[in-house]
Amino acid sequence: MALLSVQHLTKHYRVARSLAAVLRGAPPNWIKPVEDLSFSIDEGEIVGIVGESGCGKSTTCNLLAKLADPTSGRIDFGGEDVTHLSGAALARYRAQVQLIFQDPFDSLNPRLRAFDLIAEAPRALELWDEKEIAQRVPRMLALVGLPPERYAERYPHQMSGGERQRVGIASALVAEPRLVLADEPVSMLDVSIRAGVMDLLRDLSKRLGFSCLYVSHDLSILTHLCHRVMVMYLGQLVEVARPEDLVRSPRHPYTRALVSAVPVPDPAYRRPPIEVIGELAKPFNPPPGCRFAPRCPLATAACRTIPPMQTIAPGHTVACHAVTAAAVPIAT
Amino acid sequence: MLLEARNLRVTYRNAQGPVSAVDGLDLAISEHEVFGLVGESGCGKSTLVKALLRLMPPRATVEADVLRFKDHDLLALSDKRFRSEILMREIALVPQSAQNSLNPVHRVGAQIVEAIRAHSNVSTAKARARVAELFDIVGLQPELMDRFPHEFSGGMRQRAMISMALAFEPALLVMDEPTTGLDVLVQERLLRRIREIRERVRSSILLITHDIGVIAQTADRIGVMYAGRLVECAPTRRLFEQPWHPYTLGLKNAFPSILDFESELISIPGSPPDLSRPPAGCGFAERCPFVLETCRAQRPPTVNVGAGHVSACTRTQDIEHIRAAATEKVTWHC
Repeated sequence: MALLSVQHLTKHYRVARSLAAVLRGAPPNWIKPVEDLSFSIDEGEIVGIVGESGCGKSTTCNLLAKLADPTSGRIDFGGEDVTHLSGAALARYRAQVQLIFQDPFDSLNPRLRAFDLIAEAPRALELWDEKEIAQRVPRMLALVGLPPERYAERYPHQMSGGERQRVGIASALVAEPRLVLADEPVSMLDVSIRAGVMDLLRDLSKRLGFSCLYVSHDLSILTHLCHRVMVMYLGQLVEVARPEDLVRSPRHPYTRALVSAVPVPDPAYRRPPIEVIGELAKPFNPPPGCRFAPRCPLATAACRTIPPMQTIAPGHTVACHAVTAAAVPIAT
Repeated sequence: MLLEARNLRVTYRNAQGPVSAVDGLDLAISEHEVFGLVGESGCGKSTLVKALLRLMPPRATVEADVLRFKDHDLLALSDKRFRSEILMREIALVPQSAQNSLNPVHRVGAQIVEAIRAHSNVSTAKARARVAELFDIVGLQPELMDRFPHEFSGGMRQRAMISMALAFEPALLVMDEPTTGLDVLVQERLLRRIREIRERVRSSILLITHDIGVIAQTADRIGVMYAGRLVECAPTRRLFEQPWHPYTLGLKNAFPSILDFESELISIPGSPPDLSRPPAGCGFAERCPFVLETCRAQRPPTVNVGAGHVSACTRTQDIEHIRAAATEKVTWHC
C-alpha cells in the first residue's frame, strides 16, 4: 500500500530579467528543477534518489516537506491529497513527514543541548506535555545509540560528527513520523562511521515502521540501503529499479554512464566505457523533451518529446524513447 | 627517491596547548609514481601538504629526522630559496576546493600567466603560449584562456588549476582532494585525465583523498594515514588484496561498493583520538578490536610485511586470525 504517491509533480521558478529584456518583450527565464515527477513510496519502504548537482533531488525533498509549493502536480499522503495544505492540517502533516539534514555541523542549534534539540519539534508542534517529553526524549536518544545519561546534556560542539547526526536522526524520529526525508545525511561524515549511521536508519525504519526517501549523489550508498533507487537527471526521472537491477542492467543511457563512473574500491575493476557527451547543464530554460538528449549517444528526433516511464521488467521502469522502442513493454 | 620524510612532526600551538597534527610520519615517494594518501578528517593529511609546501601558520613547527627532496635538505633550506627554487618549479600544489581558488574578476589565462611570471622571467607572450600548451595537456581548448572563471564548469576550473600547477613540469605535483565536490561523471573524467597527464609529463603525483574508490584505480602505491601517522603503506593491488593494519581492514569493511550486494557494511566504532592529548601508544588502539596492553603503552614499530609493504601494528604475527575476524561484524560491535 502506497504511503506517498506523487503525480506529475512540477516546480518552476521564474527568474528576474533585466529591465532592458522586459522592455524588449523577451520571454521570461525559467529554472525548472523538477519536471513531471511521478512515483510512490510504500509503507516501510526505503527509496533512494540519485543524481548529480541540479538534478532536482533536494527540491523534491523540499516539495514533499512542504517547504515549497509545487507549480503543478499532486501529492497524496496516506490516501489524502496534501498538495495544498495549510494551517492546522499542514502542522499535522509536518509531524508525520520529517527531514534529516545533510550537515550535522550546521543544522543543530549550537546553543541547545541534545535533549532540547530533540524536544524542539514536539514542543513546537505541541504534541505532548513536558512530562511525556521527559519520557520520550531519553528513549529516543537510547534508540539512536546515544546513552541518555551521557548525551542528554551535551551541546553539539561536545559531540563528534557521527554523534551529531544521530541527534539529527533522533530529532526527526521523535514525533514518530510515517515518512522521513533524508537529504545526503552521511555525506559530511567520515567513511568509517557512515555505515553505522546508515545501519541505524535502516534498523529504525524496520522497527518503527516509517518509510524513507533517501537522497544522495552517491549510488554506492543507495545500493546498500534502499529497496528501490530512482535516477534523476535535470529534474526528470529517468529510471527506477531495485539496486541490483540498476547496477547490473542499467537501461537508460544516463544511468549506464552513472553506474560506470562510480568509484569502485577495487584496483582490478575495469569500468565500462562512458559515452556521455559534453558537460552537465543547469535546469535553466531547458529545451523541451528529454533533458538528457543533448548529451545522449542514442538521441534521435523522437527525443524532443518527453519519453513516458515504461515498465521493461518487473519493478524496473525507464523513460527513454530509444530503450523502450527496442524493448517489448510488459504489463504490470 | 624523490621525496623522503622520516619521523616528520608538525605541531600547532594554540591557547589550549600543542596539537600534534602529524606525529612521526615516514613517507617516501619515488620518481614518476602516483602515491595515494588516504585518511579521514583530522588524520593530518592536509597538514602534511601544508608542511611540504611551507604554507604553515607561524605558530606551527615542522621537525623531522630527515626531510629530503631530490638533493635538497628541506629542513635546512631557507624560505627564500624554497620559494625561488622549489615552489611551483619542483613541487606544485593543486589546492583543496581548487574550483574556488581562481580569482573571479580576472580571466583564467591571465591568472596562470601571472603565476608563471612570478616564478620566472619569461615575457607575457611566452607565458601565454605556455598556458595554451598547458590547457591542451589538461584537455581545455586554448581559446578558453580569455574566459572568466564563472564561465567555466567546476571540472574545467579544476583542470585550469591543474594546468597552473603543471606550468614548470614540477617533479612533484601535490593534489589535495582534487575530486571532492565534483559530480560523479566529472570526477571520473578528471581521474582519467590525471592518468593521461601522468603519461605526458614526468611528474610524480601525491594524491590526497578520503575516498578509497578514487585512488584504487589511480595510485601506484597507497599510504593509509591515521592520527598523524602512516599506519600502512603498500602497492595499490597489494593493499586491497592483503591489508595488514586493522584500520585498513576496518576502512575496507566500511566502504561501500556498487559491485558488492552481499557483504554488509561495517563501521568502525568510536572516533579518532584528540591530538591535543596524543595517545602514548598506537593512535588506533581505542577503536581497535585487536588491541593488546602493549598497544596502549608504546607505539607499534613499522614492520616490513612484504615487498614494499609496511604496517605499523604490533600484532603482525596474528594477521591470519585478524583478517578472518575483521570480516565479522561482531568483532567490531560487540
